[in-house]
Amino acid sequence: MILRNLNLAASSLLTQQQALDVISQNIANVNTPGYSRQTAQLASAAPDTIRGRDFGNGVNVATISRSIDPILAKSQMANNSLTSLAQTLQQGLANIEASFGNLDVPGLTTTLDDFFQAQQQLANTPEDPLSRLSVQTRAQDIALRVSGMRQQLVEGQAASNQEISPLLTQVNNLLDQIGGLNKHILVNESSGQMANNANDLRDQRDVAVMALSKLIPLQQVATNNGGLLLQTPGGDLLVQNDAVRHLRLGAAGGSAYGNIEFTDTGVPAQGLDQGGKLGGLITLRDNQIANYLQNLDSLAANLTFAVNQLHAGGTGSTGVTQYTSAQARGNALAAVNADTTIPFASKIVTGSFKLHVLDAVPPTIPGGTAINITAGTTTLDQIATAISAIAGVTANINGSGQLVVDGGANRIAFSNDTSNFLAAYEINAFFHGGSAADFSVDSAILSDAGRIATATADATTSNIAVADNTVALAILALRDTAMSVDGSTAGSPVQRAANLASTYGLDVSAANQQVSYRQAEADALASQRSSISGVNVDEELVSMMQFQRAYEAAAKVIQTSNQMLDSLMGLIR
Amino acid sequence: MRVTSQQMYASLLAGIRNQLQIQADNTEQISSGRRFSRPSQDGLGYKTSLDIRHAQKGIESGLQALGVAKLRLGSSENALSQMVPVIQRAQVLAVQQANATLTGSERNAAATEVGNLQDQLLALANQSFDGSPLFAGTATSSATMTLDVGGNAVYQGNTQDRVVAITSTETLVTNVRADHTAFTQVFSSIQALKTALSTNDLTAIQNSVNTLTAAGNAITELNAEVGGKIRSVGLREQTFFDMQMQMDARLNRHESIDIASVATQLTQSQTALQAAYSEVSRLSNLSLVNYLR
Repeated sequence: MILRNLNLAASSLLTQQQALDVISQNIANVNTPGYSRQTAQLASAAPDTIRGRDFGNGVNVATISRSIDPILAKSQMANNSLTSLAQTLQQGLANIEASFGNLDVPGLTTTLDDFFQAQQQLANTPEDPLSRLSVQTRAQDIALRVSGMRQQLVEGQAASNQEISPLLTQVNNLLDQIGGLNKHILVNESSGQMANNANDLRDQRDVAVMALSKLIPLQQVATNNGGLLLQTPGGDLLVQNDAVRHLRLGAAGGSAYGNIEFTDTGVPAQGLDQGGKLGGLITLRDNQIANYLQNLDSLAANLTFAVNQLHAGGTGSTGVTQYTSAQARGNALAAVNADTTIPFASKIVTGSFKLHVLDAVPPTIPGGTAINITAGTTTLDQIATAISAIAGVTANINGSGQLVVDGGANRIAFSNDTSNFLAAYEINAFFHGGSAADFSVDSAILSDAGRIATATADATTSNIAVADNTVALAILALRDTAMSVDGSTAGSPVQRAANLASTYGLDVSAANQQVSYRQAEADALASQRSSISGVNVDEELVSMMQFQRAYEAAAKVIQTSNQMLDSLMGLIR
Repeated sequence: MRVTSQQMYASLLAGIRNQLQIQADNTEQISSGRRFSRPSQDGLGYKTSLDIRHAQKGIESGLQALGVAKLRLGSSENALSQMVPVIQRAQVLAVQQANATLTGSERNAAATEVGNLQDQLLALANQSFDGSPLFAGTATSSATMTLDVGGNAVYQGNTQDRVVAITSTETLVTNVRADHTAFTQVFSSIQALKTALSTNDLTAIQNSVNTLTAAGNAITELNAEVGGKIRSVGLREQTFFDMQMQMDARLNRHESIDIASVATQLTQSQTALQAAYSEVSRLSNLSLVNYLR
């Protein structure tokens, strides 16, 4: 029996040593991210029955378990995804802030205000050449501001898109890593003597899943055999055990950016915009920056068409003898309102405009000649023919498809355009373009401020008074006029610009709020995880003392047993 | 709840991070004097700031327009005022020449002076403002008034008034046109006097006294009308100045920071930050390891 004592004590020595190994592992990993505290579960060995009585066989380590809360892990994964989304939006929006200006640096609203202020001065003193130069400069400021802003936004959009491919490489690497770990865990746990003992591999897999959840939104499903199934929020499979599906950035179609699709099938992955850095980049690229661009385009389109509508029917201080349309036709057979290459062709309606030929004082045809346009019927050639029928003026379509109206030595002027033809084809226009992408001041205005229209030819006599400010006043009235030529919510140019900056500000505010909220949530979840899975050095040291004492006690048993054996041997001697 | 040292460090770190953010925000506010400068700092507040600035620009432009109106009307008033003594001199001459004892040669001499007076009136009617005829409406290409072969004044301007925009939709007439009846009366009466003197027509001279009186009264009335317009512009200008002050005050209220409040917040944050730093160093001394040596 004394020898049995020795065996029992020996099992204790071994078990306490193993328990101390687990404590050492815990202390060694006290600062390891994602490490879950492990605990050696001790169990008494199966007893021997001797003469009908059970005699214990000592102790051994039944299992080494890790302290985790699977529900908490899922919450952390979801939080990671949303925090990363908010942080990406916050960062991406901060990168384009300069394009909106600030209270110290003139933004688009200030530039528009300055333009209308100059326009007001011109209306008050139309005969003053300096007022015209001021309007010309301010208009150029708007064009530069709009194009600069658009360029910055487009660059922001492109930067978001460029980040997607490297990010997908990271995603694919993590998916491979998770697939590999799944395989190792399955092998380890199926071949091991004890169930669920691949603790460190599971920790590594958890760390990889957490890292992946920062990049893309995930749905996690645990399988019975220790494997793991990951899906996108749209239900597309990403990883199942060691089977992995890779993602890639699809080809861009036209002006639209490419979708995120599976490499194996080429089918777009669903729901990837709902979280993670990838979701943030997609939201920035396809929603937020795209929305700012759309609003900027709409502002430019409305300003262009509204100003041109008024300007085309006016005249400046320079006596113009030839006008060339800034827009060129794309289809010679199409009616003027059906030519899709003209940005505002659809705005042309049945109506007319007047052409005044100032060939003498008083002119041969006082009050001008009306050129009629029927929507859906009248072509550009027919308009040229109708103009050429007027004495003292000819019209033709040049090689580029532009309408050229030539009065020879005679000054010509337009007025009373009820058809919108002049504005759509940019004849005697102020601005050029159909959106922020090609928005500019008309080249004729840029080269001669005297072509800025302030007056209008008299409807009866065709007389033009230099100090007449009818058209200048009408353009000035646009300052506070709500307008919409493209189906967008009506608003004045300044309102639209202010709303654009305000929308951006509110988006940043929402992203900031999300980051703060998600960060606080992440802190709380990390604290909870630490509470469950974290290593407390004090606890480990106390446990270490317990096992140390147990080890000492077992050694004492051996010593005592040895003394007992000595005594026994002494009897024999 | 089970607590680990990592939790405590993480919690302290989060607190320090928050306090540093408060420090950065408050420092920016104090240095700029504004609650916000960029749209990202307060989206709605930024929009309100832009709206106020838009209104300020409108007021500024309105004041400039009223300035132009005052100058143009002032010049008109000045020219009309100068016409009055000329007409009065013509009246004096008419009364003097209505005396039956005067001879034809004496009246011829008087007719020469009346011709000079007529030239003076014509010069006044053709006065320019900022390079453009003052009384010709929006026509700027020729003189306002010319005399035909019969010596009758002919209006060369048009019938369109000079208006200035004091807001984007509100305009103000800033001129008087020489096709006004007062001008017609003045030029017809002086021409009648000149003809009567040249032809030694006593009855016509006597009639001129009355027509010149009526013309003088008409010009005085027109001048009073212009004076009324100037006063009205002045009142409008005062309203704009008041609005400008209100907008300045509103912008100041909307954007400016409460320095006392921000400074207090900053001090509180500094205290919290110091406490957090002190706690970090204290925490490192609390460990069972210290007692196991």
